Amino acid sequence: MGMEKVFTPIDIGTMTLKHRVVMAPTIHEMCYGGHPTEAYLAITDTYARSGVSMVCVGGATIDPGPTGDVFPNALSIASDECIFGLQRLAEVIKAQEAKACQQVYHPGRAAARYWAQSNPEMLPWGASANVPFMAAPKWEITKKDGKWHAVNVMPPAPVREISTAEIEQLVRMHVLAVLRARKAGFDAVNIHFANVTLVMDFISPYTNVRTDGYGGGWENRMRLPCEIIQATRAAVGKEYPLIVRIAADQGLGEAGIQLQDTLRYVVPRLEEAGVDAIDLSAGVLDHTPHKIIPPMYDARGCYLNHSEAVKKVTKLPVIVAGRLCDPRMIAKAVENGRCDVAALSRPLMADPLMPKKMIAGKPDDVRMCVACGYCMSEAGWTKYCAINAESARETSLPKVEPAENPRKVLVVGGGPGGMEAARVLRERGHDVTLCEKEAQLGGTLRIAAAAPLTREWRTFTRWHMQQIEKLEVKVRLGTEVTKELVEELAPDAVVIATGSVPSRDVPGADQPIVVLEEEVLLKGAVIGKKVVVIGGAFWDVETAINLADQGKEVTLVREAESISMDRLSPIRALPILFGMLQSKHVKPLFSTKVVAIEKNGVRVADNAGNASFLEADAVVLSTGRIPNRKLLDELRGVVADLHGIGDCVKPRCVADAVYGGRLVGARI
Amino acid sequence: MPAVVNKDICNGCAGLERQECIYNCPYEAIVLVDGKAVVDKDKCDECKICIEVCPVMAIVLE
Repeated sequence: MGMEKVFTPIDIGTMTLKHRVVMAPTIHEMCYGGHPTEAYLAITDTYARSGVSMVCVGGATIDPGPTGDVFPNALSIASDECIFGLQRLAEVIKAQEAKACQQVYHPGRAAARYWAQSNPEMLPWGASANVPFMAAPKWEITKKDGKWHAVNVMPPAPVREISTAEIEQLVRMHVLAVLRARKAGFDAVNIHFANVTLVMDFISPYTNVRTDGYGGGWENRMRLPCEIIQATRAAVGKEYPLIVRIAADQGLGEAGIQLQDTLRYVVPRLEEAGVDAIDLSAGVLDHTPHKIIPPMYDARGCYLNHSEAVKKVTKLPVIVAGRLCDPRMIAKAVENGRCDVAALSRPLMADPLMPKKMIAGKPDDVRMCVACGYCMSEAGWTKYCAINAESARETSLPKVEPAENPRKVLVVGGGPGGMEAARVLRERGHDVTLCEKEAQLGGTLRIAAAAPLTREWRTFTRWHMQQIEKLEVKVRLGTEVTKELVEELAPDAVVIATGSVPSRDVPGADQPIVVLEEEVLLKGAVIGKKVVVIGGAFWDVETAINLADQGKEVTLVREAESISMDRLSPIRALPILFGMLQSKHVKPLFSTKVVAIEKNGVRVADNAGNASFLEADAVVLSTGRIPNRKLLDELRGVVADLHGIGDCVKPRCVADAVYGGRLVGARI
Repeated sequence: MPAVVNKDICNGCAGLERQECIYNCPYEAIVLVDGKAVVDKDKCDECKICIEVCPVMAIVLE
């Protein structure tokens, strides 16, 4: 790769990391009663085998009571009983010769997420009471007047300003947690003062309006974090490595912590208090989660500007996370001194072998995280990855092992599902032919990859194509598979991954002004200026924004009350809702139904039945997709070993297609 | 959709110790031509780091 500094060691206090690529602390849940499950040990083992120089186990809560209870499946370090389970985690990591680091934190306001509704007397702890916690929605499904309704019954959860006695308790809880981590065998501790921690709420002017010595001005707001570090140092001595994680910028503008504050007040005081390294995050969970976990709209390595600035004000090693998915970028950033250590969370879910591939000088072999947010969506919340079906499924997926009986397999359809099936089948030694009816591979994902907002998808298609070529899968482009062709090829097994086609189920869809997404986003069809996008698909708003970027005046019509938070995930939905819709001049019409598409526009009606007419030069359909099942249906009874995967079974998203491909690839 | 430098805005990082985009590009896709940065669209991987580091915001993705 040419850039060697990333592979040189670095000292974090008395601990030497063998190189500059580490796992960032990642919360996976997957713990019952606060203790790690076998599945959690398995996923930790995956990261330990990745080649990183340090694995950081995600946040363990330090508070044994309800005020420390952030969700049912969270890891705990709040009592000595926790040490046994944590010791197993540390062992799993150190067995692979990686350093083991445990992150510890107090969830503060976030303790409201699950239990506060039933426990009104015990309010979650806050620096002040001025900012309630905006928990994830909780849906109550009821039937009213014969119709089903889903209502979000999760109101903002009130929090309580803690007393000075409770502050002392908080300091003590941190110290005890660090001592437990050391006893469990961890080489270092990451003390969490970012993302969703009570201590960050003390640091931030947004959440701290106290009038005692712990609030009002930077000196006072930094008092608690510094006391915690000092108390921890007093207990654990100078030698034990302490890393502190902070939000370089909360993304709240002047109201919150900004980079200039971090440079001037936060980092220097923490350095003085005695930490061994600064680990940079950003954002605040219940307001700007898209700053904590930047989506594909943001640049790769988007927080390197933070670490570069912080390195100018401290002698301590600076660790940073944030879309560090690009091996060449990581190497260059370390070479140029923009950071000392690169911390990877999602990139390791996308490719747990990324560090090993970097060390082997094979950056193109890395399956780069595209920051699609699936791991943060409703569907992906246990850290499933859209492009790596094995993530968080270590104990529930058949392994990719050589086929006992190598056979001849035909895969129909070269989209993400088909390519994944072909890749896995071929890796196992089967004789694989992949047929694709278009002139190039990629399937429906090509539409997303062609659109500026979602360009990063193309790196996944590119990786798939490279792997298929390397494995010598027989690829036949421009080949539409028919029943006759199947009979002619006579494969032992067939995988159908023929995907889906756009739905046109809207009255007036045959009007001449109607245009499909793929025509305008992929095939460059020229359309007039006034565009109405008829939505329904979870990506409809992105289509609207892409068209607005082309200079169109776009109106998005959507029956739902808002954009799809569940599938897009908050990290894509929020930047759209908070800024893009306005700044890109897309006019959203939510809770609006299409009555009919007409010659010069679209007739619509709102929930009250009030009709109106939207003039349009073009109407782009983004209502969803319907399965392309013709071949699958024709071959039933004709081919004995027949499998259908992805959209042709049921249109969903890339993650389902890739999972289907990975599963069928290991089964045949 | 490679990165493209606007020649009217780019000043070749005049007065600075180096050209930030060239210095930071992981794909070595940018060169100086007549004192201004130019992106080689065959090498550009659209990582957007040049857009992030340009002090005068002269670069966009095409």
